[in-house]
Amino acid sequence: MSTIGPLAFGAPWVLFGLIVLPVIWWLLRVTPPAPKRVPFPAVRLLLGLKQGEETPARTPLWLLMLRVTLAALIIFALADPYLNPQTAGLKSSAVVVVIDNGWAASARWDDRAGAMQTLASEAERDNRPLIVVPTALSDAAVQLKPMSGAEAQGAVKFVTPQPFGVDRAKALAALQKLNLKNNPDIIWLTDGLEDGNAAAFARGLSAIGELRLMTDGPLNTALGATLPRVEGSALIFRVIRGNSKGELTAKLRATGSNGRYLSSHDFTLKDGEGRTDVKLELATELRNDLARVEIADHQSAGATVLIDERWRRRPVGLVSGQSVDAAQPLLSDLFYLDRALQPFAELHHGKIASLVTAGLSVLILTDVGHIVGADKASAAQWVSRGGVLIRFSGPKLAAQSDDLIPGKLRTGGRLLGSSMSWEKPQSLSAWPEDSPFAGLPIPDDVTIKRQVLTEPGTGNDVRTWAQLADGTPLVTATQRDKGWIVLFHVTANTSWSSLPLSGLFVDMIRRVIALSAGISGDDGTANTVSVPLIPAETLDGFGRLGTPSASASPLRAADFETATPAPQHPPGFYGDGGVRRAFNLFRHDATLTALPILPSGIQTTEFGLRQAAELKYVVMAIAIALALVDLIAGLFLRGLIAPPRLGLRPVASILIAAIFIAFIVSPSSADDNFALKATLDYRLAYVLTGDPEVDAMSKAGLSGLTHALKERTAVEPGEPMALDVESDELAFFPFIYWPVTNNQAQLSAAALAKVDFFMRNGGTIIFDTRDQDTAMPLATGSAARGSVILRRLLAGLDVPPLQLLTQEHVLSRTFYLLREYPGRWASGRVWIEARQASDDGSSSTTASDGVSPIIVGAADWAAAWAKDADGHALAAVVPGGERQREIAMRFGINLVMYNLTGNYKADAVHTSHILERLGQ
Amino acid sequence: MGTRREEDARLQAERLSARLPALMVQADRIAATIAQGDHGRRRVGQGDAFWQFRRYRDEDPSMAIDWRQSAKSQHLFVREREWSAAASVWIWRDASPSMHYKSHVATGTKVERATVLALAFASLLVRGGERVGELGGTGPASIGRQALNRIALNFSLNMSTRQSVPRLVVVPRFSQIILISDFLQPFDKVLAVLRHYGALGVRGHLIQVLDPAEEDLPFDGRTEFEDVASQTRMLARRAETLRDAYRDRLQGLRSELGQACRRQDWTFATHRTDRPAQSALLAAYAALAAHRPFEMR
Repeated sequence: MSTIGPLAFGAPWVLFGLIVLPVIWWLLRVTPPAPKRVPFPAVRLLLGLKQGEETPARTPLWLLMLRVTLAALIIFALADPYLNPQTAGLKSSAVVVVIDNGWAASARWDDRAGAMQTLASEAERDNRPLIVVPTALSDAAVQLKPMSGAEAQGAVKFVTPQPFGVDRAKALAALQKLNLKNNPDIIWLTDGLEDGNAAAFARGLSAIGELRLMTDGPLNTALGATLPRVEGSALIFRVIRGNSKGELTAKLRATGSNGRYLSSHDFTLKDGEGRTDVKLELATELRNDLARVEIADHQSAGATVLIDERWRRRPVGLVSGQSVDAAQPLLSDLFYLDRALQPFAELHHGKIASLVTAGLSVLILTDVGHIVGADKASAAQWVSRGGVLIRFSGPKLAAQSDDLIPGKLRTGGRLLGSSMSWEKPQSLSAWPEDSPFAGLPIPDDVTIKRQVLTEPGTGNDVRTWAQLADGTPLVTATQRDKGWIVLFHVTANTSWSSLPLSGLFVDMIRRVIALSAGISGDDGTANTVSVPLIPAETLDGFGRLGTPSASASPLRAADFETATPAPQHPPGFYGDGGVRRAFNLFRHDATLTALPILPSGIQTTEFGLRQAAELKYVVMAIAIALALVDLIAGLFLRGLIAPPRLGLRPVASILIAAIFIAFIVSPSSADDNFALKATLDYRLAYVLTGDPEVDAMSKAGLSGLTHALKERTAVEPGEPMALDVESDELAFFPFIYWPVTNNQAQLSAAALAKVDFFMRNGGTIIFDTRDQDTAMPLATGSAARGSVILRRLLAGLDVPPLQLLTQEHVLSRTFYLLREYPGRWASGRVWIEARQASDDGSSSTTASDGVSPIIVGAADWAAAWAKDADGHALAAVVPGGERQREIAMRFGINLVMYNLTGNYKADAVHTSHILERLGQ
Repeated sequence: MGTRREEDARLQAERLSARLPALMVQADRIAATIAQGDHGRRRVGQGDAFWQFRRYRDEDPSMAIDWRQSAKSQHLFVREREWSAAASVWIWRDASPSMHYKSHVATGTKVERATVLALAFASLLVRGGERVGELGGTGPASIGRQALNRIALNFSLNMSTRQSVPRLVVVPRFSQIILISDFLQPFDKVLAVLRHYGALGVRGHLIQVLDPAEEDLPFDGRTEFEDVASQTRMLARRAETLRDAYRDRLQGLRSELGQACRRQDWTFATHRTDRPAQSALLAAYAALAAHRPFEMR
């Protein structure tokens, strides 16, 4: 491996390939590009033309440069270039990675893991053995050995941060045993903290080989959190750091026993500050749940404080001087204390001596006058070691007391508001200034009827924490050594006062209990102390609780205050079942110091600033991209692909056409086709009867009529259409011819409704029974068969009243003036809607515009109209003659005209009258 | 070639010719009438339009006497009509492979433009009452839209042929022929056609339709030219250097063609496919009507 500035090459000899570049240049230059081939009809004219210049066409310069660059890039990529190599020089000696993997490294472990990975892969590439030296050794027996290749890569991954400090002296000793030769590269990935012999360590490493240092940036330095101090109800944690440079803001986060988030507190370490105190105030219930406090985003064993029961529920011993009266529990003075303490304290009942030795924070005695015998000595000793003794008065205490009370009591006490007294029951006055109860609200309804009184002037050490309105004390306290003795001058039940009934009582008790520092019962003689506690859960380097490692060994309770976390004693919870103690990395007074000034000449870099980068793939990708450009350029030059020459208009029109086609192609059903056919042209329509002969005749007849209309009138209908009344839509046709056959089927309800709707909204249906020949007026007077069928057909329809078509009717005058209306049969009668009697023309205001919705006849008009393709009539008319056929055709034309023009023609009938009225 | 496309060509041709007045071929050279047309020849002859009354001569049939005029005076008068005659014009357009060439600077192939021009001529002539036929095609020259339809149909059926010169057939004397081609085929072939029809006493109009690329040679660099018809190839090391020499040659070919035409009193015109078809039609119209040599691009 050789380096040029920040560049290094894995295979530098490949770079000799660059020598051939001029050759490539020359070759490309003399080789003409492939010609572009164009078809050309006039080649004949070109043949034999003298070519003006004899110099051959050259590859264009830009293409030449492109190709040479391409070749150079490929050679460069094959030389395996690296940017910012971490190890330097073509050496065969070992690479030693010394890593501080104590708790302080874990917050920025990714940087270290990345750096180690890079070093390991470089060592593998350069075939140099790699030695990894972790300074925080989890096991006593450390085997250091040179590794290579994949083994080294694996070993690097295997190094993890440990939950305790580093032991550099031991690591140095282990390294020295290896007797490394040839000036190896030593890279020390340090955590930046002094462990007592950092300078000696650096000197030792420099003696072995060439030492380089990699460290965190000043703001990435490790933070530690210490065990809290108790101040009232608050816990005060101290955050420490070794390096006091730079301002750093972070967050202290408290979580509960099941990982529940409880609270957080922001703090700032100002520039130059190596530590700061963070006050965490928690409600009692939350504090009881508190299990862990950590610095957010600094996951390490050092930034994590485990909280055990000493910081939580206080063990409270309750002893009553009264005889227990199970029958009247509400009168018992312990009842109120029980209820008040239950949520936040661990209550123990029993004898004073046994309670005290079991470890109590607070001992509450209610109406115990004299503490008897050995109990008194142990209680006094317990108080002097920090216990809080709370005593409630009562008849016994009022009668006689021992000296474990603040001051000295006057015998008998004081009775207020009784029948023998002129004094009224007293209420509470404001809290004295130094009272721990300060800030609690004072209810009005608390009255004190009886109290015990201290002798005045019995000592300056008696403090009054609460007093009555007349200045007499309610709660007095005195400090004995580390502990407190607190006296409530009333009973713990309601016999002397209403205080136990109020919420204030609970708060007051809590405040007093919060004074206690914790378990204050341990002394060297207690059996719980000497028993070693086995590790239950221990922290790993990242501050995560887990099963303890195999090397973790039990710790005696007495040693908790003095032991230093080490591989044998990692921080964590120790003990099982009832006793569970937290072992933390830092005590209250712990400090951190930065690395001392190291011997000069040691190169120091920060993590992440100069990351090694493999350039091989990037360069190769650029070369491939250039090759593609060259390919496309070559195709252009040879004319194999043409530059796109699309104008805007063709594109737009193609787009519009595509959209249009997309609409057209969208599914169009047969219904649509039918509707389009029916509506794009005006068409006559006939109803299919199911009888092919009749249907063919209807079609031919309407075709004939259509032709006649085209020839003679302005109406130009399309070819007639056949209709199935049951399934087809009728609304498209103004005029429907309906031949009634003998086997006319009854219409379905839907079809009837459709026909009715059609007739109601302006359509006209011509019913043709075609049976005039057989329906000559019969002597019997019975109706003809066709009429019967028609009647049956129309039974469901709303047929208007009909009248005979007369010469005066508009239908007789719309185009031709007609006197008779023959079809195939002559002299038939036609029935049409009766004109309404009213003169105001109401009939013309209907939807049908004065056009009869129904016309009934029997003349078989279609047969008379029918013509074949050559214009010859298809059916003979009876009695016959072209005249009859012509009249029949005229009637057809009149029908269509009547149907289409409606009342316009009706008005035209009256033109002469209108003109007369106008005076013309 | 699809019929649809041919239909388009025909529509385009009709649109083109609609802007010009009906083409009347001056036919003073056509002494003998072949059929009646509606050219007033300002001479007495067969026709519909009244020309003059003249005194009855003995050789006149009695049917010819105009009795109404005669009744006005003592003499018998015969009504004479103006002589009108129709010329027959034969049109041919080249559909050989070289005509199907379309360069990158052109908007359409040469054969499309040639067909449009040919049909436009036919349409004009038909409206002028002339007889129109396809040279070398089936059927005689005829009058009316029927003739136009037949020519259009024939063109559509023969949109692509191997034949680069018209068939040498016998057409009536004093007919006119219109030949539309790129005339890039070997020159003696063209000359043979000219001689053949010149010998028949036919007047001809040659219209050379060229692609703009064939005129300007807009190619650069190393280029291999490939003949569409004969697969002949020619490699130009630098095509741009050939441009002037090529132009000279093309000009030479044109002047040779023009001279050959002038020798037998034919006309020669050129047209490029990137110019509007109207320009060619207008110039040819003028030549056809006025019978003078014409030049155009």
